Amino acid sequence: MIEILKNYANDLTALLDLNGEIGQFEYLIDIGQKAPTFSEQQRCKENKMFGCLARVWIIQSEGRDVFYYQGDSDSAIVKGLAIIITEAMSGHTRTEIAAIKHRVVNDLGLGYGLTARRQVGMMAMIDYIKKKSGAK
Amino acid sequence: MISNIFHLAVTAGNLNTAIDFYCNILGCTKGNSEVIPPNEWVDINFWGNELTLHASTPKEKLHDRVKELESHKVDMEMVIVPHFGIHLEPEDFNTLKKRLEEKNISYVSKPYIRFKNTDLEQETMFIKDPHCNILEIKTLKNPEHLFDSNVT
Repeated sequence: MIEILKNYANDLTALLDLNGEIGQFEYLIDIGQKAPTFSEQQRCKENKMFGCLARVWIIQSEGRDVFYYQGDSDSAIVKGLAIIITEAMSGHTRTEIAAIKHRVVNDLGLGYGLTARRQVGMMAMIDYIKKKSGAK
Repeated sequence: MISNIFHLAVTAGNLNTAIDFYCNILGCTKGNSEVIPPNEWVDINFWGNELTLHASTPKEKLHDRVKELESHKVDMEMVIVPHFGIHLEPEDFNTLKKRLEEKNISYVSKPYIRFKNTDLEQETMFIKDPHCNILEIKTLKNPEHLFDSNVT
């Protein structure tokens, strides 16, 4: 989980140095575009989370002792962030999810160059997943 | 006799797209080539130097190459490394700059003057080709000082 987030954090930091926030935006939009868009049924109240300015939906599914997540948003950039968080949080047990603190966003530099609102939004996604899995 | 011609071979994504960029936008000319799919390559006469473009999986966005590129400071400005390019006469530099703007080619670094008021004063600009190879085009005010050491 941490390694996935670290890789994304490294890319986002490097892109800010290489091409400024435009580089980061293109990267996040690209990540979002490669992921599926939820159907209207999937964009339901039960999957909608609060804490982000954009609308964000997260779907949870369960495997053997582990949880999987998919994310979507009506904002192209926030969708990229949702994909990063849901990918990193997928495939883990409730105990492992419980061990992740939302400050990991800043600890890993994942929010480097992003606005405070987007950083807080990522933290809210982590908290939402923790609650949904019963880890919080 | 041909001598002192620099040669560089790079991956270039889709070759037709790359040839269009180097020939129709930069104004270079196409040379020798070989087509043995998927191993295609083409030589570009890059202002008298041999630039060989090899077909490869296209990487159209800078982030597709993020792990291959670094940013470094030169005269306090960030530049992307690796890059390659050419020194041009001021008139050729300005003609190319105008053409890039006419063709709506976006800069990686807009034209600016570096090492101002030194023997190495130069105008430089950075662009990327369709495969995100980074190119630096520059023109020195005093080209005779190019390889001087300890220039002030």
